Amino acid sequence: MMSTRLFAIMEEPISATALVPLVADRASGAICTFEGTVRDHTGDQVTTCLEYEAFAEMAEAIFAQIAVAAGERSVIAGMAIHHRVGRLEVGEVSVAIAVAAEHRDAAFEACRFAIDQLKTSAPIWKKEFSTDGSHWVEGPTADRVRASTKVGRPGVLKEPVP
Amino acid sequence: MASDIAVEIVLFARVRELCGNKGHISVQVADGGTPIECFEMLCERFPGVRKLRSTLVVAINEEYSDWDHVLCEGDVISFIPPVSGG
Repeated sequence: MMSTRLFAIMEEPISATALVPLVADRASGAICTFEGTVRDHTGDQVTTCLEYEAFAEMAEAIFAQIAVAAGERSVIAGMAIHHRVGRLEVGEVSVAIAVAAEHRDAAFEACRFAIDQLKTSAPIWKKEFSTDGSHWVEGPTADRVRASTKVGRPGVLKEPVP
Repeated sequence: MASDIAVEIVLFARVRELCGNKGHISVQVADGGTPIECFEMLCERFPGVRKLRSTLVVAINEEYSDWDHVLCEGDVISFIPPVSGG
């Protein structure tokens, strides 16, 4: 059963295709999607599967913050982010993002911003299983979602209050 | 007389594994206590987690916060190890 929630941690399979109807909008001329998938190797190591774990309620709140921050940087009509948890096999989708915007530049920019922010801000962890055993992948030390501080660039929704 | 407050620590990933694989632990801290004292309690019960200290970020009630944030009764604290979503 596909979730109709815009921001969700999911135990079931996810896809960017499923997110498109959640963000599609008649005034939008661009939909940019991203899927992160499980790679079969890291460096010289063969990856057999990954196990993802999340602080689900907090991660979903962070996804919503990422969408707000993306909207402050680029003019977008909507964003949806799903991340999978549990055991994932090689080739399966771990993260899916869809962004709708009036024009393509904003859609591309916001989609890139969303995955970059997710990787540094969302409380999600992956354990990599290889032929040599397993280990937690240590990414960046968790950081808050960073909103744009550049006033006046295209896409800033609100003028600062004088 | 200062009374204790009850808070909940929720644990994930490497921190969870180093804390006996428990998902959450309830602790009592003195009024005015901070995540620093909570982490110290965790280390007393599970000494292996202490080595992660410099890599952890505090979250309180599902928002990133600070180690010296003064806790309230019922707060939910998490010590977030380096993230690797995506």
